[in-house]
Amino acid sequence: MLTPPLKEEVEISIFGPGYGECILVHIGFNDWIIIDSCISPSSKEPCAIEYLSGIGVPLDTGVKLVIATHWHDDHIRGIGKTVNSCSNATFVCSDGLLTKEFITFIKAYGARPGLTEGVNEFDIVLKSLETSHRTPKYASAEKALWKRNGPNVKPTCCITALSPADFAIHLAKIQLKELFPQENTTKRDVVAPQPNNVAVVIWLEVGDICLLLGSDLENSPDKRHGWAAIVDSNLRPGGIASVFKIPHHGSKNADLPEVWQKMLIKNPLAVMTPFSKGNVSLPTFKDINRIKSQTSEGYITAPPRVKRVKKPKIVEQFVKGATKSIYQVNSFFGHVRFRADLKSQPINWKTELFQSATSLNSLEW
Amino acid sequence: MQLARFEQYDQERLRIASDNSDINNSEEEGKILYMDRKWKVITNPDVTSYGQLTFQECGFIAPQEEAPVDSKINSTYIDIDNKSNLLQKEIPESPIVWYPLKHQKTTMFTSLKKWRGVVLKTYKDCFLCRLVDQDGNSPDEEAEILLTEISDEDLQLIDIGAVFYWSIGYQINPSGTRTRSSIIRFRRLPVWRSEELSEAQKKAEKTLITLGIT
Repeated sequence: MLTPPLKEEVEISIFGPGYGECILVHIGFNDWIIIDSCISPSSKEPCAIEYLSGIGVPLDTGVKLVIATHWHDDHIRGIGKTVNSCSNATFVCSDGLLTKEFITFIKAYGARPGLTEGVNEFDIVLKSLETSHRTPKYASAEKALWKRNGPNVKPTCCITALSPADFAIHLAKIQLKELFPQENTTKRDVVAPQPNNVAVVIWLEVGDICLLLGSDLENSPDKRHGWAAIVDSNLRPGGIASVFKIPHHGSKNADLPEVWQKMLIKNPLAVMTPFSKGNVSLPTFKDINRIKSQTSEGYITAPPRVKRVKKPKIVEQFVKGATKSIYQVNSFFGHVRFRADLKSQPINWKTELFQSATSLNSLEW
Repeated sequence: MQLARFEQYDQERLRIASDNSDINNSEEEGKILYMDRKWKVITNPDVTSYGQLTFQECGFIAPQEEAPVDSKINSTYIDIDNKSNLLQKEIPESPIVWYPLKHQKTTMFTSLKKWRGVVLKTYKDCFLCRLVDQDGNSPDEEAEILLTEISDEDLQLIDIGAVFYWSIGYQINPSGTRTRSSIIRFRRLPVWRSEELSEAQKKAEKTLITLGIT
């Protein structure tokens, strides 16, 4: 597992869940991009840091971008340490988040360690950026975030945000303004509001390879935002992607058939992380079948359903009496890795599965 | 951080101690805030208030970060990692006092499992919450807890984002009787004060300038 990619190899590594998701992309020539963050259950370190350190990548020079696609706990655990460690990387987050209202909200809650993990992580990020005098970059639809010019020495690489759309940013700003506490109201943990209007979808081109990384963006009945706005945009980069990070853990409300038809090759490599909240487990059996109808190359970092770890009998008796239902948050952890040689034509992907990761075709229900 | 840890690990025992009227009839005349086999923490009867905070606010539940008060509190407050040093120090204005206990029998609670919970959604007869194992031994869980399990005084505290602790274990009475027990207690967090919100705004403005965000 701990073998670095070759210089002219592209790698996409997806880690999760352990309650979370993190994507690492090697864009060739020892340049890396980190998208979101989750914690490794074994080392308790951010997955990206653990993996990159393990294969000998210098974090200060090797990592070019750290992107937080949104601020939900399951996408941001450990991102503070990641931004700290990758001291020369540019930090990117949604345009909807870099507002006076959101930063004031972070400063109010961030001063209360122990509460509200997503907010605490964002507070660490802001402090790290301040200390190192780095200016964060806003991500919004059709905005180029990073570019490496080629093709003489290194292949061209261009990273573009496909969301949030302007209208979603407007909605996010209203939504986040309402989170700011009012005087004399009781202090509480912050529960991220729904729907998620700030999710940053990434389009990544390196040489002839395109990747579509779907974050948690969902469909919206209003075509001014959500997946419909991306598909309909005539400003988004052209090309079709051969790798798709399936949005929002494979849920139906994040799946738009036009994305498969217009933005992806036939039978693309598709990967996702599972998610659970109360009695909701994603992806569902129907979701998996729907995705399998689009590609035979679907992968997931861990099985979507887990059995609860039983506690002592007396504890179980009380739990049974006091609850209507109880579910264990997905504690499995896995890593899906795709690698391809930038020079090979046609592109030939090599897929590797580690720990709990599995193919959708071999999932048992 | 010390205060926060005190609150996090000992809230249930602290409440049991303070709710028990027998224990409260202490010869030291202060109100008992916490008690275990070796230690009793009482309010200092010579100090009736501290700044704008009541003893309950600063002693039971409010971590330092939520109560920016006179720095004396920070320097004289509970140092749970170094109780003996605290005892040896003479701190006349300390709002609390630690007393060593040798033979007094108390109501004890032996926890078998303890979670920190956050309310995610409320329903008519229950609420959805995330449970984080305080020992770090089990993965997080999400449960729908019935409202019938919540005491009347805590019911009004149930709202999205509200924090509670759930302990399951044995309560051991002074007579030695063991009773199985499940205790769900909601944190009584203080309210946002205008000074805290203004402070946050100032910090945000400074951050925006430093980061070059317009």
